[in-house]
Amino acid sequence: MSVLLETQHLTKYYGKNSKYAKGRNSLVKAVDDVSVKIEKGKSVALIGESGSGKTTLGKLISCLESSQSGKILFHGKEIEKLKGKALQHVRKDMQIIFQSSGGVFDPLFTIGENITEVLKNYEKLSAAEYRSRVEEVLVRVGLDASYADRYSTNLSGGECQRANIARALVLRPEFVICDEPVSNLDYSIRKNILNLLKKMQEEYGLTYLLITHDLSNVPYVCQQVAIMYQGKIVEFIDSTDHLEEKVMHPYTKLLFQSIPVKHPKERKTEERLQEAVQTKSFDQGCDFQNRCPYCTERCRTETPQLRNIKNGHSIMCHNIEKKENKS
Amino acid sequence: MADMNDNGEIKIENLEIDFRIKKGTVSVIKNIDMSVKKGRVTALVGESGSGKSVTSHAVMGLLPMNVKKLSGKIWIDGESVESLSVKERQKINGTKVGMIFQDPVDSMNPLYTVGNQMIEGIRRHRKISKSEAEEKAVQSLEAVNLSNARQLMKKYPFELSGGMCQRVMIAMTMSLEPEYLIADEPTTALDVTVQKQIIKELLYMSHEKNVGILFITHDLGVVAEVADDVYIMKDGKIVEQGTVYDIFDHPEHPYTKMLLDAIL
Repeated sequence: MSVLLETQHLTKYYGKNSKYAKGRNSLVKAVDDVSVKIEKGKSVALIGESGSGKTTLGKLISCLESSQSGKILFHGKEIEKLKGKALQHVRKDMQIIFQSSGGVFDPLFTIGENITEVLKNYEKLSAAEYRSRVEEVLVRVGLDASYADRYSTNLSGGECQRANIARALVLRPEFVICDEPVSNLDYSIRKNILNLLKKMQEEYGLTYLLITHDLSNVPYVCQQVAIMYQGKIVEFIDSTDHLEEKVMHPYTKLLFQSIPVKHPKERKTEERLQEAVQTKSFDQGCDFQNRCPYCTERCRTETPQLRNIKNGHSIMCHNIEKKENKS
Repeated sequence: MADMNDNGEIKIENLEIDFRIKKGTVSVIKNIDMSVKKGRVTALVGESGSGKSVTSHAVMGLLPMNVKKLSGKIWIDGESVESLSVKERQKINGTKVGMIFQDPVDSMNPLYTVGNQMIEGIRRHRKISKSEAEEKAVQSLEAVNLSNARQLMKKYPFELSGGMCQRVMIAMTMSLEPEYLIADEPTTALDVTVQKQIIKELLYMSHEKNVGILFITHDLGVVAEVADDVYIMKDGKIVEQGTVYDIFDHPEHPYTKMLLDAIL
């Protein structure tokens, strides 16, 4: 398996040199020393709450933001230093599907014109060929060819998201970053869109980076899971079967407990929960220390590192290691 | 749920609502019946555009001006509410029926502090002094499990996270001790972890304080977590109703089956 995309010690801080931050400690570690490897055909889900830095990581990878330090390698090439035409060429193989499907299209142009615009950047074809490419991709995502003549404002949320997927796939990319592709949609159509993403993955041989806060989306399209908290990847598992039994990090467990039950008989009577105080990252110790139920003295003083505990399973927690030693 | 018998309810009978639009009229609510009982959570489930928010606005008397036809009866604790004047209506809203909305940050005025807005709401309905109202506001903030309530009173809505804002909204609504609470998609804009916290908070209100909650959502997963009674709404009609176990174990209507199928 070839490595499609790799980040090495990628770091992005916000606010340090901002003119509004003078004299105040307003440094936000959005992405903090993140190293991930994405292999071709093995889609990765990036999970975290809002503010955990998952979208920033997505933006860094797609070169929409520049990082402070670290490298991004796409097909072994460092893409951050590329400019102009060369960078545009990379974008052909790396597309993004955004959360707000309606905002992606220019409301003054039809869906067809919008998608043709994308094609024109990369391929010189005749008008008829453009049209047939657009129609083909629209049919692929479950719309019909007539949608090419409609305006984005006249589509429903689900149709718009399908058109959005069509826009990303018309260039036949290898790698697609999906930033919360379903969280703006009604529940009744979320499953359809996720199944569509899965179908496209099989048809086009895509690799996804799925950015989401909802763990229940993961098994549909992804083969690997990375959990992010306060800019760091705290757990990485390279398989999504029986995920709930495998996860070990207390934060991941918390995320699993938050998924609503599927049937009323599974309801649990738990204590009411305290509002989680979202602090900026700590100077010392684990970033999860104030929310972690198993927090020890060591967690407050020593910063844990991401380490491999099993084949294809890495975790950033002191307490897990202890358990391993005992057993 | 100790004294179910003399518990009141919000009752809606034969409600029909038409809106006037450019080209004629559009029928939004078509003849629906439902009831929200005290101490229970009633979920109203439907996709966007099915008319669930309009139903809740009708109960609160918040319908927009372009309503062409409004027929049917709404009773709150046996009292018919359509014929009330604006003043009488304002008395009921807040004290008898409270409402929280989908977007907690937009529900508050960004130019005033949390405390300022809470005190204003309390003093609008209760004749008490400013300091008493402040005490009450702090109490209700603490009741929804917010720490440092006094500090929080001095903050502006944009300084709070989405989950904290929604808690403040619940506290604001509950400070007037309403008997019913209408929650219009209260967790849709929030993260899953925060959603769980807010759901627990609403369940606590319902069980401990005997508040009747009308929970409007499009997520049957959340319904499985909170509801006692469920109404499924489609195109302005109630297509199925029953207890939460009825709906999940024996769904009758194909639309309900489709919704259940869509749970991730």
